[in-house]
Amino acid sequence: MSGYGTGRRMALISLLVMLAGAAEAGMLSPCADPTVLSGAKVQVFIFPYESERALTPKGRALATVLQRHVLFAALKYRSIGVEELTEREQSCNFELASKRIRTQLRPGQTAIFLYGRVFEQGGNVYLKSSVSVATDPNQALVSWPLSPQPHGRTTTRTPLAVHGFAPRTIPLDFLDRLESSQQLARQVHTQPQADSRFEVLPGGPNDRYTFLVLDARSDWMKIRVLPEGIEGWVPAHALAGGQQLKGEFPELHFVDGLIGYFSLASEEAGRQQFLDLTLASLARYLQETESRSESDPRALASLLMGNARLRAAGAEWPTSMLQVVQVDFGRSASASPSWTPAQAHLLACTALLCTRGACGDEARTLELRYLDAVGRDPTSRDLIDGLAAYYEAVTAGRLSTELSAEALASQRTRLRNVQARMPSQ
Amino acid sequence: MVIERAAIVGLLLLTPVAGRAQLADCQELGAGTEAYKVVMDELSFAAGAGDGQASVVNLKELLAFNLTTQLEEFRSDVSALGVTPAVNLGLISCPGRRPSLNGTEFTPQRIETLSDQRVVVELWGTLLAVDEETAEGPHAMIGYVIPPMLHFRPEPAVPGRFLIQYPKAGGDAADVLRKLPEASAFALVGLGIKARKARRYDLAVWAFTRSEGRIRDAQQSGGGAELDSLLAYVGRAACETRQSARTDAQYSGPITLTPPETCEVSP
Repeated sequence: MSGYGTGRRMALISLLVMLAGAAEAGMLSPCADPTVLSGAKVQVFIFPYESERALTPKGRALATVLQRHVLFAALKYRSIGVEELTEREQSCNFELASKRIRTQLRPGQTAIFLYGRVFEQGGNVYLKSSVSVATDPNQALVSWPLSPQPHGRTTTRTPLAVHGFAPRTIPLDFLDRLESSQQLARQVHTQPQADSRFEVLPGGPNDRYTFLVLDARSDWMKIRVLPEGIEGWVPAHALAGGQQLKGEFPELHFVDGLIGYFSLASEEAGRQQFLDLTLASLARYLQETESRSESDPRALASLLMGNARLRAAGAEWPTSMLQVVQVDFGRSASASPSWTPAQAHLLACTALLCTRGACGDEARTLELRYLDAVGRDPTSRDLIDGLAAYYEAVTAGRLSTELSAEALASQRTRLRNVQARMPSQ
Repeated sequence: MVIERAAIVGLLLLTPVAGRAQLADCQELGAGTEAYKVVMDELSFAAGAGDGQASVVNLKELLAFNLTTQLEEFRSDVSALGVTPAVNLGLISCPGRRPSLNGTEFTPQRIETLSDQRVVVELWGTLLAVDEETAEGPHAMIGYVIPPMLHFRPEPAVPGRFLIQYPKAGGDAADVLRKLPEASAFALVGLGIKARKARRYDLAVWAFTRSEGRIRDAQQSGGGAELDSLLAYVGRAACETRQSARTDAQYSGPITLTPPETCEVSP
């Protein structure tokens, strides 16, 4: 797999893998006292999935292996940390642990939490995952400049929690299918070559490691393994593609897309590469969930694709790019028609295109579409602020309205009163 | 598959519940909180269904896992709302509370009490064993009542109680994990009706709108005429709620920005 670059500095990349279990090793990250890496821009925290009764060793191993795919998929990004939190005397409480992590994050850092519930029965493991994100509030905002007026700009919010993944049914014998790729991932070579000598790291369900990534070369990562002190090369592609999962754990690609999304920054080199990786991961998630009943996460995936293009583009948004983004948002709205963030983004993007004279016939119906969206979800601050910015743009002559001047003035007064009463988000 | 009423009687005669069906009190219901509530009763075995039949026991565990996660998802959806005052939603588990298959215990008086206690939906399940004659595998009948729908009767033609088989027609036991959007759909309808009665118009409209998506999901996995009529109802309910908001002198929220509309008349 191309695109890992060369000569990455140790300071940029730090990966920690600590598996759930009883033994202790290296840099532990227990739920009671989670470690937040100061140098990692994006960190993924993988919580032990909650279970009402103990899993068998095979069930535990399968849950661990699935999550470890997230780790290896993340290797292609820079400045990433991945931690699997451990339980000690008591079970891991997501609310408490995530709160502790949030308080330790520095400005510019993002934490992605993967957690959920697991249930083992017969020959299957059943997983229900959730994902949430802690980040600077402005990381979740997109600002749409409809007009140069003071209130002519509106913002839309990207939801930072995803609870709607469908439950997954994964047969335990899947573990056998994954074993060969797991073995590859545990081979630490002396050289970045498949035929060089290697040591094999232990692979039991309770074994755990701390990985520090020192260098990258093509498909290989140079790592230091603690506490063993082994240093060498591992094939980064061993688990990265997720091919072995055969679509059984699409969350892998969603989380991978999120990592890429929050790694995007306008000033960073390799932006296009990160964008391509982000879009590919989210598209893969959509492909693998096409027949699943998880409309909101699918809508969010399409929305993130559109927003990723905007983030990668930096300050200037070419009209042609905005039209592609509009298609992403349209797909999002179709995936979940009652999900307001999709509507808010689609309307804002369309409004911006209309101010540029690039929205075709949609200019005539845009105001009604805004009002219809407000009528379907009057609780949404984004829609109300979007409507206000729309009317500012009308005043500036950039957009049109069916209302007379008096009616428009009255509507804007009502709007200001509504905004004053609504809670800000 | 939604069971029609005539079939419900037949099922009742053939499949008595193992322990006597009873609607034990659930203390948390009477706790007097301001929270809206979703009540999950016991998933009980029909006579003979639980005796040594691992497949039925397994189905019960799967259903409990899925229903719990579905309802937690619903609660997260509600808690993310930006409304004032914030909406509190409680998920109340009532073990030992075992309504009969078709929920005859839910009399008008009981329904009124539940509605007053802000219960938006109550659900229970009866697990049935393998049918040797038809070779039908273990399955469950999940009953739902929407107390506000039954108490206020906003639309008499639309049922407020449902009995749905899992797995659905043509599915296997693993399908119970894929196709269970009814729980949140019915909860949203109940929430919408309660909110409208309390003149919380914004919350009501949001709930009706969100329920549309869930009802459509349920239709995809095997709905019937009752879900069709429920879908039509929530569309009308949202429209009528907006109309009420526009004419309420004490309401000055976002709905006042929207143009007047003509709502569809119920059939």
